[in-house]
Amino acid sequence: MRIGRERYYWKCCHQRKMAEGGVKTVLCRYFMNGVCREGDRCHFSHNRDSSRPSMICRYYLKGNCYYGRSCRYDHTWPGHQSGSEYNQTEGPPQHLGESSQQGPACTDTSRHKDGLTLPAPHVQSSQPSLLSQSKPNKDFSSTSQSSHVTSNTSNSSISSSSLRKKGSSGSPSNSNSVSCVVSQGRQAPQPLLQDSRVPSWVDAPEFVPKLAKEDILNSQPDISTSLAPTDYVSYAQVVGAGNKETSSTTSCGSDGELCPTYLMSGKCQLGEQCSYIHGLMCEVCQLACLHPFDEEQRRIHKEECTKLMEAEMEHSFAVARSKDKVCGICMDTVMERPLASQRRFGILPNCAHCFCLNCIRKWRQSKQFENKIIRSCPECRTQSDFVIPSRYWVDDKDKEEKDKLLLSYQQALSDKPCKYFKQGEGQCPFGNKCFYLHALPDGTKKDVGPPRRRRRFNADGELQQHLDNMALWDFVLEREHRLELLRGSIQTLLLELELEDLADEFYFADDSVSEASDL
Amino acid sequence: MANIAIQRIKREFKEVIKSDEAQKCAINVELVGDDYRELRGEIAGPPDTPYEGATFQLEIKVPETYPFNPPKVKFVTKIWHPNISSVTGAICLDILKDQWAAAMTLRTVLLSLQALLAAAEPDDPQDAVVAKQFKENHPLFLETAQYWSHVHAGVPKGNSEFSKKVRRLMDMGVGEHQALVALSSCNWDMDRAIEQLFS
Repeated sequence: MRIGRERYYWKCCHQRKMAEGGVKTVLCRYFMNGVCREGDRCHFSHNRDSSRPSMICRYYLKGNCYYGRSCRYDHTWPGHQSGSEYNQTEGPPQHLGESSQQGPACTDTSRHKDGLTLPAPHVQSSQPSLLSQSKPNKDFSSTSQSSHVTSNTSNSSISSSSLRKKGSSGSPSNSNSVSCVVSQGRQAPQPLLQDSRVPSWVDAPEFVPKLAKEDILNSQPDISTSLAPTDYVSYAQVVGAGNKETSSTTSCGSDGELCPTYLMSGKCQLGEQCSYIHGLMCEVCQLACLHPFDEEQRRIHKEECTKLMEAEMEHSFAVARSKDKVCGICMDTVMERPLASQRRFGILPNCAHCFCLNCIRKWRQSKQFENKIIRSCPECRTQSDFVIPSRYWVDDKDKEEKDKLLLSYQQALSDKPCKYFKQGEGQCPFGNKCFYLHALPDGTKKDVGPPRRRRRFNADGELQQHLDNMALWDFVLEREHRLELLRGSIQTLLLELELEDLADEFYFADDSVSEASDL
Repeated sequence: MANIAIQRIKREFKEVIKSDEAQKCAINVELVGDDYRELRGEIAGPPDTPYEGATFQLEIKVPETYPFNPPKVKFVTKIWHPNISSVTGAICLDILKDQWAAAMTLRTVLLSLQALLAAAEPDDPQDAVVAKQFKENHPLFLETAQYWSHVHAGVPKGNSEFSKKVRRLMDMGVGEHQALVALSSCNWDMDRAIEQLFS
């Protein structure tokens, strides 16, 4: 179950789309300082004229910027386009608790660290060590992401790393100023949000759904000039964390991403305020990974989940029915043989007797008996032309399963180049009955016709026709078996050197021929 | 000995000891030495045969390649049977030769031998003389086989006529078993037996 969970989780992470564009209108903070390394690839604007002045000092907006005139951020109200900076000389440095903590080493760029000084209580309540760790982060997005993680009580490195990945890929720089503007701007017209303690970064452009953004762009094409932060709609609003009406109607759809924390643990500290969607519980995998509004996603997930579950069940059934099977030759319980390499079944297509692969192969290679004897089952003497290797026992009653095993075995062999055919250079005595691949160097398959027949007069002068492939499986088996013996002896050697892990690894590393059909 | 051979023989040894047949004293197996290379088998003569009441000792040698090769089995106890050499005790049984199968065990081998005693195959003989008698003079074969069981395999009741003839030959200075073989192979014809012995 655990494996299934993680697999699904990673899939979710992978599917999650990155926040898209929409920030080209925002002037790049690094560009402003002449240090943007992204160049043309930068998601933010490198055009001073067309870009809106986004560097509004949030402390100024609060009315207590310590730096006053010398502040490198804009002291201007978002509404006023003109540089209506007014001198802010008043006030002692009140907001610089953080800066003063960092001391004189604090650089200019880290002077106004956002997100961390936000009054969101859940951030403060989170683990201080993690917070302080994230402080020196230059990139706002990663800071905010990590604070998001800490606040979500998720200590899992998976979710935090995946979140960080998303953050870093989505916004290389400069988003802090934007979010600053947005959140500060929102204070006045929408005090509700601030009251309900949504951290400002949830409104960062990266988190604004594309659809919602398009709506805004459509309604207000002149976004670069009319800087109205309230026009931005956060995921939280869109997907219905706080604002249910909008969510269900317009812009959710497949754009909404599931909250990874909620998905994994079933709870999210942000609760209703989470900017991601909290999925519905999937009954099969017990993960909150059903998208509430995306029917297609739900269908796909249920399908995959059921498939996964079925595969798991099949596996456990296979283990259960293989568990106490005894090899008819060595009389050992196959699954309890000392070496992992020996814990494999050799399944005869024509009868239901159980042997371990090594034993039945060895038996079929005995030289002192007639072909008829060694190619028949040692227990019931039913002849079988070959042995199918399998990690689990397949009952003869389960015809379907056995056919499947046989098919997958032949399939696997048919991918391997025939050593007799040698890509057209040699001649395969087994003709088109050969299980291995007969392909020319350019990859085209070649039908070499039926196997050659040998004519021979026996002692009584009767014409006998021998199929060359009389002993096809002797060849095949011998080839595989020699390889196996070699591996086995190397493995034993490794085991003697107490390198058990290595030994098993070694054995299964290149076991494609015989393992190919294993479940 | 190969690991698999030892393990299997140990297993089969236990299997025989615990088997129903062993409970009924029909078959048994003992160790000779402690390396499981050689065993001493024992089978009871099947009922309604001239071997009824007899116990036959078998020498079982387990090859290195067991169970991919059959164990080498022969009768230690002398027996009068078309498929078993009256001289060496060698057995002619397909499963101990070319019809061996790796899934066969000591128990199945012993039971097969028991079945062989009950159902001889005179057309595929080991001992041609016995097979001839078996086919041409079956009642005499039965009596002979029964007498052999009396002499060698501990059957209490014997044939007084046969023992008289044997004693007479022994009086001439012939060993008991030699006399028995000579008489048995000559259909208990005293003159032919003497001729065979002293010619």
